[in-house]
Amino acid sequence: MEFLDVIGADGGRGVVAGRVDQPQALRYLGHTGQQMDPELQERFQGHVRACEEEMRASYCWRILPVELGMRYGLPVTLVAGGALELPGMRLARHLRGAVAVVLVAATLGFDCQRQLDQLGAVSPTDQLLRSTCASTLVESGLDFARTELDRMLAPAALHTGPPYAPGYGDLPVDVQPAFVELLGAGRSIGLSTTQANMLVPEKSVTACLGVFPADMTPPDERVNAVPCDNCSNRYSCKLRMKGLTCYD
Amino acid sequence: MTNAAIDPASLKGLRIADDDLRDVLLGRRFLVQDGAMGTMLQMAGLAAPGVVPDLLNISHPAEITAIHAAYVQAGAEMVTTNTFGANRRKLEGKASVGEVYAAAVANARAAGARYVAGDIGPTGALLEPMGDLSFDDAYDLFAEQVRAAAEAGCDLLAIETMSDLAEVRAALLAARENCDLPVFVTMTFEEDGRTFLGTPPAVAATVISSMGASAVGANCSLGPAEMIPVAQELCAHSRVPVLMRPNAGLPQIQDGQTVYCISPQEFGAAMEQIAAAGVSIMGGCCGTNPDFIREVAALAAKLGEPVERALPEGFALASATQLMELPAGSGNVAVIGERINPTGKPKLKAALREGNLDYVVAEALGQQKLGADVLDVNVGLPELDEPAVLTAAVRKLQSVCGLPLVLDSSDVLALERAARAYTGKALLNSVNGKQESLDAVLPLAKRYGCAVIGLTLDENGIPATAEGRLAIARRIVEAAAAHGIPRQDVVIDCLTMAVATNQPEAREILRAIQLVKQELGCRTCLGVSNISFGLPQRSLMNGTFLAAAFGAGLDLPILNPNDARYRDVVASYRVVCGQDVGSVAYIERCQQQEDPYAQPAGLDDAARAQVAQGLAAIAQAVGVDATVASAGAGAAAGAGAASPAAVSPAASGAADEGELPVPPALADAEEQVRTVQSLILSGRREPMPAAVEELLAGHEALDVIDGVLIPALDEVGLRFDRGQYFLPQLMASAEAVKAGFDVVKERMAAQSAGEPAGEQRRVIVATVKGDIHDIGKNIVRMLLENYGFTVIDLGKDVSPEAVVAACREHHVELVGLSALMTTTVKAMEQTIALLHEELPQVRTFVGGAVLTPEYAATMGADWYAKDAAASARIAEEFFAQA
Repeated sequence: MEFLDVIGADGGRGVVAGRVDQPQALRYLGHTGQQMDPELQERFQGHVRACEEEMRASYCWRILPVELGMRYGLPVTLVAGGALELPGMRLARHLRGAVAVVLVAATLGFDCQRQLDQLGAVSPTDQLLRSTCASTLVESGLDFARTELDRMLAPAALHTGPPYAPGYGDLPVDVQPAFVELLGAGRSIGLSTTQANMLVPEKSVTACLGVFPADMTPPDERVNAVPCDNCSNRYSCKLRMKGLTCYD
Repeated sequence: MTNAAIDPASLKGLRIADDDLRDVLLGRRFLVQDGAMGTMLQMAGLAAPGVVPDLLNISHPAEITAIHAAYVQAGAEMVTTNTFGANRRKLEGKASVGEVYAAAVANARAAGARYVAGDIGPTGALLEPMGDLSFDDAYDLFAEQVRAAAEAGCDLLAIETMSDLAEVRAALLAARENCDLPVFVTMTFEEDGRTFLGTPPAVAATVISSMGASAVGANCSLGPAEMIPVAQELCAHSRVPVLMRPNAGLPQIQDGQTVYCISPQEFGAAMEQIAAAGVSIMGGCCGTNPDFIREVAALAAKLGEPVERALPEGFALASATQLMELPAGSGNVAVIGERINPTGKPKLKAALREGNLDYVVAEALGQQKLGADVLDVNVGLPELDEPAVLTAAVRKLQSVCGLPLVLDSSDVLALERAARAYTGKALLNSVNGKQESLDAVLPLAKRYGCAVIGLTLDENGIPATAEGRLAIARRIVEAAAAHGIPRQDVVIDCLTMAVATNQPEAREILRAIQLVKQELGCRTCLGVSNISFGLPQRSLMNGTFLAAAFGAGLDLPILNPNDARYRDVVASYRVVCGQDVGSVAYIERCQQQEDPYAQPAGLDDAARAQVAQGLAAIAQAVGVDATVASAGAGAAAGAGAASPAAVSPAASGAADEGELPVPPALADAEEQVRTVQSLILSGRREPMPAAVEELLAGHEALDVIDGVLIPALDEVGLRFDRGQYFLPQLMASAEAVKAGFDVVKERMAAQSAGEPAGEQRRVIVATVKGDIHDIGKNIVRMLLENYGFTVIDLGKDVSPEAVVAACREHHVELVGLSALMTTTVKAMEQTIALLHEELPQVRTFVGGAVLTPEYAATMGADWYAKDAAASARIAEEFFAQA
């Protein structure tokens, strides 16, 4: 990966203030055009402001070699020579043609977690509103990390592809602990996993980005790029029931 | 000059290798530690991904010994064993903890190290409640390491790279309770000056040095220059020597390796400033190597002896994230909020009996908003398992409220359990002059590093005179000292008697406070409101007594922050004692709040009538209720209370309450019924209490509930199902109903003079074991409460056994379980299976993102709840059948 000499580092971290994606947050809340009472609208805006003013997204990333392998006849993506194995057809397709993979993680940290826990004790409505705003904020942290990476990779005529997260499609969530470990996200941004493979603190995301030559047509830009058919949540997804998707 | 202030008696009970180490522990001598192991392993090509470094002790002993030897030769007197991840959880059975420590210590000894420290790093999992590792499990992991390190022959223990103060406490207690070696503890602070979990150096130093660590400090994450402020803050708050192990600058990842930027010489220069702050134990962390340690050793030799560091003498309490400090020699005061105490509070009693800790949280946050600096927590009810409930309350409060806590109980076991669970430095309430009390409570304060309140009463009761109180106080202070508890951690409560029954004693109490401050130099606290029992206008009496007590030297009043007069006294006194520098806060406060005694400037009756007229005209023009607007004229200056929002059904937007019937029993109040319905449909809760009060006038409470509130909420549920409302609207409506419900319940309680009669319909909700998401469960809880069910919320990560136990304890036969992910749905199955086995009459309903009706049926649940509205219908159905 000679391009690492060009960009100067194969790992990094940062902090960003981020923006709440209001239409996305409303979508998560199941909004399909209902008219909101002005009081509720103002309440929602209050949470948008609180997130944007008080919360910060910390992120970290690491560029690693990637190759495709096979396990029991099924494709598996081998990161760092197999130190991390990411099974699944979807990810393999997502990274087809990639010269490297970037592991990324972003989190809003424990201050945010405490705020949500506090709201949960006194006002579930506000917990719900704050939580959905926070979810979009942490995603914007991931987006910011990606734009940083693209800026760094541009002199080497490379760019990143869209993110693909564990737990979607046929990439099981149980890769999460090994993912976090290889990325070093514990040390960089205080991320850890529970026994049930949930990220802690709660408002955290991890994802793989492929590194592609600039002249290559990028894979489908839709987040996670899977139609609902292959998602493990397909029978009970609230969004799907309303005819919505979790991606743009 | 050296740190002569550390008391040699504090080393009692420790097994100390030699006199030089003893001098280190007293702050009289420098100690040079080694540098990074990980970096050296990387350089030696031993740290490929997938390699477990701790196992290298067994597979590559010569290489490990060589690394240690290189540091020893560079001048390190103390080396830390290569056992950072050597706990049972991380080793995953590849070797036993005992084997790894034995090999690691042997390698360190073979290198000729003078002192070998058994290294203990974090478990790798996050502790409850944010993570899923229990305190006891973490303790067990650490205890195994402690015993292995001691058995292998370590001279001391080094607990390092900690981010979570709760985990630190588990490790430190494990160390103190399983061996007699000195323990060094370091935490890792990030660029914002706190650990990832939000602990600042001042809190770390205060808590850790009170709990029996031999040294406290910081390692990793930052380079030495960035660590200077951390070092200064640690030194200002630590009672024991301070240790620093910075990285060799900030890390960058290049070529798959982590590289650091500063040179050994730059490192040494920065360390000199760190030593100047008062640090006496120095080493290096990531990126350092023997060259760096050579610089540190040279620095120590050059400086000779550590700088004299003044030990902290102020009074301090801490939560995991906040320090509450009364600096030595200052007259500052801090308020202890007293509201979390069941005596005289029927709602709190009911909440505690139901295990409703959210109510306790609301009380806590309310007091915090009104300026409490510390919170007293008392859950003493005869029918409760006080140790369990106090511990649960403390755990819940510390996860959502950052104020330090006062643990208030006469049950010693409750104090012990709560103190063990509390992440911070608590204040124990209380010990008294009776020998039995001194023997039971003081050891707890010592073990858990707590401050302690001493009540001036003994076997003979409460003395009548100030001198009598002083004598008991003196005995308490001396007994505390004998247990190794410093005077600055003792707070004397001279006990207030009611002036109505004991008038001469009021002056004695004040004199007692003065004497205690003068003669003993201890802080004082006082439960102020006792003074006014039996007198009218208690608030006035309390306020005056509080001011007098402040004048006598009171530091920590225990009072109700809801009382405005108390707040007035505290705010104004803080100017007098200099705490509110430049009266800034006082002046700002006066700008926001009118003086309740002052006449509105310049307005006579005629002028006031004109203003009212003018306001009424404006109100008419904008369609707002005129009486509300003109009433606002008098209160417009407003002592902080918001004027009620005007109630205007016409302005409520899309809600059409015309679709709902008006119940016959309330036909004569149709307009008020319409108002309430409209408020519920549009989800506006502020005007609800007033609107429901109006409706209740002359009508039956049950007619209001069954005829208006419930049908409106049902309608909202229908609209939600149809997609006409989305979730936040459903919840806003539910909040409006709750606001109305609370008013009705008050009326019903008043009428039946006491507890609400009749059968309570009770439901338990919980998020299952391993799952830490609770929003869905919280929404269900809220909706069920609005329908009048009593909900017992067991929280998140709840084991099957705990669900069964709660059903038994509260006689509940309907349980709602929530799980978010496929990985935790298994726990849901187990919970249902256990319920079927132990309590077959209990019915369950389940919900969560990955559930389907089919899956719910497979696991034996009685109902599948696709959302919160469905949960309410299920509960109704269940209780209709019963």
